[in-house]
Amino acid sequence: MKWVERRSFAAATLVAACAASPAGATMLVRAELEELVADNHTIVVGEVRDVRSYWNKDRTFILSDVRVAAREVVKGDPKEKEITVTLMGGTVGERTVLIVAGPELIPGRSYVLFLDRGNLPGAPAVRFLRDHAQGVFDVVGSGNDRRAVNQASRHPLVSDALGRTDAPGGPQGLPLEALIGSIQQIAARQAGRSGEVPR
Amino acid sequence: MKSRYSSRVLAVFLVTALAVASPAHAFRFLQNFNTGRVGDSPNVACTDPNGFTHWDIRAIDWFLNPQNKGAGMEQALADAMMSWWLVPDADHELWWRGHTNAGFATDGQNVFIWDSNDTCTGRCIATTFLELRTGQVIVEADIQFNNDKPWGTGPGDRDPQTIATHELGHTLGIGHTEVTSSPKPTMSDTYFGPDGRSLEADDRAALQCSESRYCKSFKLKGSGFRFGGVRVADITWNYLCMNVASVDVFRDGVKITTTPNDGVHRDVVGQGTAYVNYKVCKAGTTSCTNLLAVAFPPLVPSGQ
Repeated sequence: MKWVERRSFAAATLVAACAASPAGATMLVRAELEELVADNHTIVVGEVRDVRSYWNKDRTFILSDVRVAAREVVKGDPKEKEITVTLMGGTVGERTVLIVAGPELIPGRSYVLFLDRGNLPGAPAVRFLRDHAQGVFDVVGSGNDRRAVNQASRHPLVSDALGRTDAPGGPQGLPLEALIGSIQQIAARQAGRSGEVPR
Repeated sequence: MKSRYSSRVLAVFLVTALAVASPAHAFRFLQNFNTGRVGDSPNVACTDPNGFTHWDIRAIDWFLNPQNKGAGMEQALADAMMSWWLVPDADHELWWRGHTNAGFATDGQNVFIWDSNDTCTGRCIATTFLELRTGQVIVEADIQFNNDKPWGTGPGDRDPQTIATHELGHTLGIGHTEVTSSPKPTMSDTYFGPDGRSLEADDRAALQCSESRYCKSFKLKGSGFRFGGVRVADITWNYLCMNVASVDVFRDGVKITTTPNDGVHRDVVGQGTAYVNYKVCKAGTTSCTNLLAVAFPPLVPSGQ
């Protein structure tokens, strides 16, 4: 009986730990969806295959390459089937570098990712999350009930010029297909404005 | 007999009053026992069975890279560090060590840096990393501020001291508090300008609790007062540090009770001398706190 109680306690502890609200220290200004679309050259819906963490060439930072199987490229090259996203942080051996309130990509889970190219410590011209947690939507639910919840909704955002602090979609998120539709419309509009051919 | 009964009633009353008066803390800590996590962190209570991030050294050296808008930020950063150093009963010492050329890198130096690069660009205002070794022990932390943002205390500016104080809290393992009422703690999850420079009770309690849990020694503190002429002593100890279910409380070398290890005991001593000595030990062991002399104010003769 005691063993059962202990197991229940352990399970409750684990659930509590998983359900606890994450903290944030990467301070981000709230962005409109239009801004996220404009500032990122690739937007993809995909599932994380695996994560490989390593020391950068200068051994000054731990980075993680996240391999994502693209289910749909909403903005960018539609032929891309697999995309590697580089994140700051990770664990190598007994050392961990933790970006407090950084984005979290877990193998087996699906996300909508807003990606740009940039230079991370010791890693030039990699695909990365310019907008940190605000550039990641968790895909939750299944079938037609799938929703996309911005990871920044777990974190405080600094208000934008209009005083808004809620991440796009808020803590409830948006229906995934509606989000994809909105991104496509925005991307087409922005491409039309700049004279590019939308893809 | 009557006096003994009265003392017991008084003791029960005092213990109940003490329990009711205990503050409800809502501070939280950054946890990262789950190896492989690259960002984010569960926000957990001080008593979480899996612990949380913390330092195992007392003195933490900080440097400023004075490039870009970091030039001239020395005072704001030193003041932010001082806020945490001055927390009562906190052992951490945040030392200002001057300038460095080091950047946002795991190089053994804890650095403040203002930079314009993809580590923190666009809508990012500031970011912090912790380097941890096994056991959630922090070995380094850097804070990068976005050089492209307006830094200062004017309208629309970001106050460097406020943000540094908040980020330093994170580098000490402290997460966002769940307190939302005013005055807002510095470790609130929202930026509210220069009011966030000074720590509130919840911020201080967070650091004290962290240091109690990840402590170097058992510490006993306390004070005495008189209630209707009766001597009463309140003693507290860093109970998380002791990590046992119950403790023995000794008064003047004699065990007076075995009590749950909740960090607090109120002893109704009765009449007697001007001071008594206490110590608290793990129940049934000789693993004890320091010896504490608790003094009581002199009796004021009636009619005066």
